[in-house]
Parts: sequence; structure tokens; C-alpha cells
Amino acid sequence: MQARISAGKQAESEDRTAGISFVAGRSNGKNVYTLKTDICDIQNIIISPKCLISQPRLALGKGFAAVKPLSSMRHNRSLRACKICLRSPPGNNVTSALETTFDVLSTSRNESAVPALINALDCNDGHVYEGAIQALVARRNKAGHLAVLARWHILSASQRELVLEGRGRMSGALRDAVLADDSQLFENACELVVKFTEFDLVPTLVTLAENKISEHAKAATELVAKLTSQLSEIVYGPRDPHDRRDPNSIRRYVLESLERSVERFRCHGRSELIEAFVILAGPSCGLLKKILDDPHHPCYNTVVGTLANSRSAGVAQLLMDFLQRESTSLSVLNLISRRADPPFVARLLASTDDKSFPKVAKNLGRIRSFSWLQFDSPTIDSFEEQDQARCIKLITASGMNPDAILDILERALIHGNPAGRYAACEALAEFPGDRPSQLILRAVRDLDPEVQASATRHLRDRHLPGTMSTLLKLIDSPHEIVREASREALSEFSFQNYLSRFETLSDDARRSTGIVVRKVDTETIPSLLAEMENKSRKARMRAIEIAETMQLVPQLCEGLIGLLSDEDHLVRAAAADALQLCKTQEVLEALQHATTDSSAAVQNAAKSSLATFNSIPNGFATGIATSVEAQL
Amino acid sequence: MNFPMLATHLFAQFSRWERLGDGLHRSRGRVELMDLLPYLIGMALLAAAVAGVAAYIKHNDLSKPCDDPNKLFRELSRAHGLDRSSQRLLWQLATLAGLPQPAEVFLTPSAFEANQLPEQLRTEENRVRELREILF
Repeated sequence: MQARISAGKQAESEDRTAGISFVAGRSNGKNVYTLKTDICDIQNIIISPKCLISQPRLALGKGFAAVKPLSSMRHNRSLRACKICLRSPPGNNVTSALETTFDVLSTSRNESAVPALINALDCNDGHVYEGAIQALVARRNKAGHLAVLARWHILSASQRELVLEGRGRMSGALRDAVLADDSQLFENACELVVKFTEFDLVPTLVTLAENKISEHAKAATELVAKLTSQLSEIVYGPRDPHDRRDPNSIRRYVLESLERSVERFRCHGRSELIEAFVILAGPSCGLLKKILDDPHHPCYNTVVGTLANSRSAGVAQLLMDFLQRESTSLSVLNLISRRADPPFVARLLASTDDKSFPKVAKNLGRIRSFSWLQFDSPTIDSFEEQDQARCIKLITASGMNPDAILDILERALIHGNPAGRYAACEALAEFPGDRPSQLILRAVRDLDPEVQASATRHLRDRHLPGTMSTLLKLIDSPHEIVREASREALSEFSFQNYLSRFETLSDDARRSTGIVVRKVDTETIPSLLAEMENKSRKARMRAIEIAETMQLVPQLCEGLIGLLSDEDHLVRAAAADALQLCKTQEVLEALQHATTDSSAAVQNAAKSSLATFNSIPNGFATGIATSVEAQL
Repeated sequence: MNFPMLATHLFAQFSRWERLGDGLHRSRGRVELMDLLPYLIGMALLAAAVAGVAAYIKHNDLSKPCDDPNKLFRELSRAHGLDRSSQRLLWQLATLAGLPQPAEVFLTPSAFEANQLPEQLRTEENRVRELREILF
């Protein structure tokens, strides 16, 4: 809620809906300011802008009654400064005068407030004690902060919350505290450094950690490790929207001090500092490359050990970044193949979904094995659904032995979930030989339609005995995706192919192939109808013959009836002859009309068909269509 | 220029007219200190007035950084709207309670306890209680 008054006699709130208005005026020769609010219980109270600016809580609380007469206020100056923000009006309208005291002590520019507040920390009154903590934390004074830090270990949870509000203001005091000889102060500071994520202190802590004679060196080393781990989480993990610090700038700053520490490793021998360096170093870090390329480097073993064992997000990210680089050393790839911790494996699997996977795949091709796929490790079927598919994508891109890959694919096909089985089936396409073929044939009988469809698509290329009949059966699958896949596998049985080779086929071949084409190519009937309208008489005649051969006359009645009006009498005659197996009222009428055709051949054909009509019982002709369907 | 009235006036004070121009004559001596005295006194008064105003402003300006316990006491008193007599009483209380600086009395409720009041303030017990009500 904001209320603002302008320089002048009249002023109003900007936000009337918030239920607050502020009016300045004169009454009986005196300046009178009135705050009307329906949020506070106190209404029409006379206050001065100055009081409202300097002591808003007082102005809105019962303590306001103690404000001196308005005539003593320098109202003109106040009015100039009267951009008042009443943020978060207090929930309870009664604020204590003690709060006023602490407001003054926390904002006063008089440094005497600090010793007064420090002395107040010895007070037995809880409110005074907490108020003093809050005020000391609010002030930018190192001595005050140190006084609070010294008491951190005896503060209650709520009092600690008050101290935590001082994040970002207590760096100086924390630096002094970590360098102090007082162990309790040092311990308190360490705890707060972690809570505040005070990365600025890392160089100081590194220096302390390297100091062999300091009794705080070990704790400082642990603190550096904790801070780098936190920083790594911030840099590589999701960002806190409230934290405005730039993680990469902090990383560079911290890394600089750690690099200097790596150079001094022979002197201090603190491997934890080297680990911290590795966690924050990126793949382009020159010093890290230098260490990895030199097995005689004093830090080599520590660095390799960290890369192989550290669970830090930073190390995992570093290894993933190495995978994306072109000239990644084999030693790093070996480390990657040895990592079997689930978070890293999950990260590795997730990389298969990245756009950069082709780059990763190049390096994966140089990896011969993964320890997380060994016999004593969890098998592929223990992965989550999508991870099974990712795993298959990963291993097929790797340089693993084909037999080992086939073992995994087989396991995935038998025990995997649908996504895993599908991925395995797709992957099998790349593997020639009998074993993959048998696995594909097995996958054709899978319960999942997508797996079936995948296997069906790859079946045709295998040239296995019985493939054709299997594919023809799959055309009748209840699942559209499987039918589509089988048509795709039998794509050479298209109507166009059949049409172009029709003249060269024997009668038997025409009939058997025609039935297959009719099943495979869903465009057969429209294509035939189009062919019946072809300008070429020969083509139209062939279309009628194909319709009869493929037993599609019942479905093509309309086209054939249309051909009874063809300009060519041979076409008309052929159409009239073909229509004899399609006993419908419409055909009957068309044939009767054809008996009056100008061509005797057409008349005879029509009469012949009508005679055939009369010889077969009603419903028989339509039954033909049904029987044809049944054959197919 | 012609000022007949002035001329008449000068002629009327003949003794002064007689000494007119003495200051410009070679025989005139150096300026004596007594001649500057009124000016010096005026300047001293002016400087004292300026210093007084500056001191007053400094005394009351709470926005300037400083390290002044007395000023802090005044700042707190002003925030609580305490009058002169209340301020005096509080100051006395702080002094008699042995507080390191007077402002600490605002953070020491125990100093207002009736049974801990110094002998000198026994008579002011009621006012001290009122102050406690106001401050805590």
C-alpha cells in the first residue's frame, strides 16, 4: 500500500482502494495532517508528515499520542520530503514504544548507538534482547555484527532468523571472525558463512586452510569444500530467483583463488582444495587440462580421483562438457566409463535427448564399456521407462562390443517396458545377422502395437522365410499403426506398380498379386476409378479387367455404370459384362437401359448379364462381395 | 552639486567645518585602534552569532554521522516526544543507574523498577513509572 502527498496544502492517497487517504491543511492557524485509514483502527488522527516519515510505526500505533504539538514541526521541509511509503501496514495497530527505540537505534547515524545496543545484549528482557540483535544486524557496523556473531550459538531459532536477515551486510564481520583465534567465534562464523553462502570469503578461507599451524585450517578446508559444493549447485543447478548474484562471476572469482592453491599443492598438501578446484573448473580450464595431460603432476591423482568419485554436480557437469568436446583425452573417457553413480548415469542418459548428442556420440564411440552396465550392476530393465530408451540410444552410439549390445537389446526386448522395447527394436535395425532377425521376429508378436509396428517395418529388409505371410497377416492387425507399418513394409505392392506390370503377369499372378495389392494399397479403388476415366480406351478396358481380377466389381459399380455411357462400344460392352456380378437395383436399371444401346455387342452383353442376374438368387451377388472380403 | 540646506547646516556648526579635510592633510596621523573598535566589536558579535547558529544546527541535526552519546539520547527523546523535564529525569536516572551512556536507559527497563530506584529519585517514583509506560 502506498500513500503519497505532494507539496501543497491538499494531498491525497494514490490508492484509494487500499482505504487510505492523507490530507494536509490548516486548522485554527496550525498545520494539521490527517491520516484516514480503514486498515488501522485509529481514524482521523492528527499527525505530521515528518513523523510519518521518520516513525511510521509510531504514527500508526498508540505511541502516536505522544507526538508533540504540530506547531513544533518543520512542516515545509517535511512536505518537500513527503513521498511517503507506508509499506506493509502493521497487522496489529498497537506497536510498542520499544520498537520506536530500536527503529531509531537501527537507523541513526550516530555510532554511539552500537555500544548501547551491544550492552543491551546483556539485558534479561527478551524483547530488548531480540530488538538489539535486529538493530545490530540492520546497522552496517562490524563491531555490532561481531557481537551478534559471538552469541550465535546461544540464540534460539527465532533469534537466528533475525540474524539471517543480515545476509550481505555481515561479510566484514564474518571475515574477522574466521580469522579470529576464538574457536567459538570461528565456529559460529563458519555456520553463518554456509547459511549466507558467503563466497567472497573463499580466498580468505583458502589461505587459512593452507596454513598448517592454524588450528582452524581443517575446519576452513571443510568450509571451502562446502562453499564450492554450494556454488557448484548454484552454477549448474536451478537458480534461485531471489538471488541476484551472477553465479559465473562468483565462480571465476573463487576459481582464481583455488587455482593459486593448486599451484601451491606441494606446500599445503590439501587434496580437498584440489577437489574444490576440479568441481568449479570448466573443461576449458587450462590448468585442469595441464594436470590431466601430465600423470606426473603432483595433483594428477587427486584430480583423477575427484573426477572418478565426486558426486558433485559440478564434476558431473564437467565430465558431460568433456564429452561434448572434440579432443577429449582417453583418460577422461575412461573416467566417464567407470562412473556408475546413479546421478551421473541419469545425467549421461539425459544427454541423449540433447541437441548436442551427435557431438557426445562421437566421444561415446570411443568408450568400450560402461561399468554401470556390468553384471553386478542394475540391469537395463531396472531403469525408468524413458531411461531404458535413452540407455539403448547411448549404448548403440558407444563403442561397445556388438554382442554385448545385442545382449542388452535382447534383455530390453524381453524384460523392458514398452519404450525400452520400442527403442531396442529400432536399434536392432542397425544390426545384421540371424540373432537380431530372430529378435525382430519375436518383437512382431509383442503386445505393444508400437513395438509390433517397429518390428514390422524392419522385417521386410531381413528377407526371412515366412516374412510375406506374416506381413500379410499384420495388414489385418486391429492396430492402425501396425497395419500402416505392414503396408510400409510391403510398399512395392502398390497399385501403380501392379498397373504397370499387369500386362506382363500371368492370370494366376494377376489374381494373387491383385488381392495383395488391394490389401496393401488403400488407394486402389480411387486409382481404379481414376483409371476408368482415362482418355485412353486401352487404359479404361484394362481398368475394367483389373476390377474383375481384383474382385472389386461390387465396390466399383458406380464407375462401371458410368462406363456404360462410354463413347467406345467395346468399353461399354466390357462394363456391361463386368456388372453381371453386382446385383443391385441401380445396376439392374443401368443394364436394362444398356439393352437399348446402339451397339449390338453392348446389348448382348447387357442381356447376358441380366440373364445371369435372373439365374442367381437375390442377395447372392452382394454375398460375393462379402466372400471376397472374407478371402482377403 | 548644489545643496543649500546642507551648506546652511555646516555653516551652523562652524567648529566642525573648521576641521573639515583634516583627515586628508599630510599632517594627519595614522588610524588609531580606537577608531576600529566599533567595527571589531560588530564583527565579533556577528561571528559569535554565526557560531551560535552553527552550533545550534549541529546540535539539532541528527542526520550527520557522529559518535555522540548525548546526541543519541536527544534523538531518542525526540522520537518518543519527551519534554524537557522528562528528558532531565531520564538523564538523572541513567546517571544514577551507572549506565555507560545515557541512551541506554531507553533499553534498560530494570532501571525503572521502583525497588531499584536510587534514593535521590524516590520522590519522582510516579513520573518514573509514567516514563516507563511511555518507553516500554
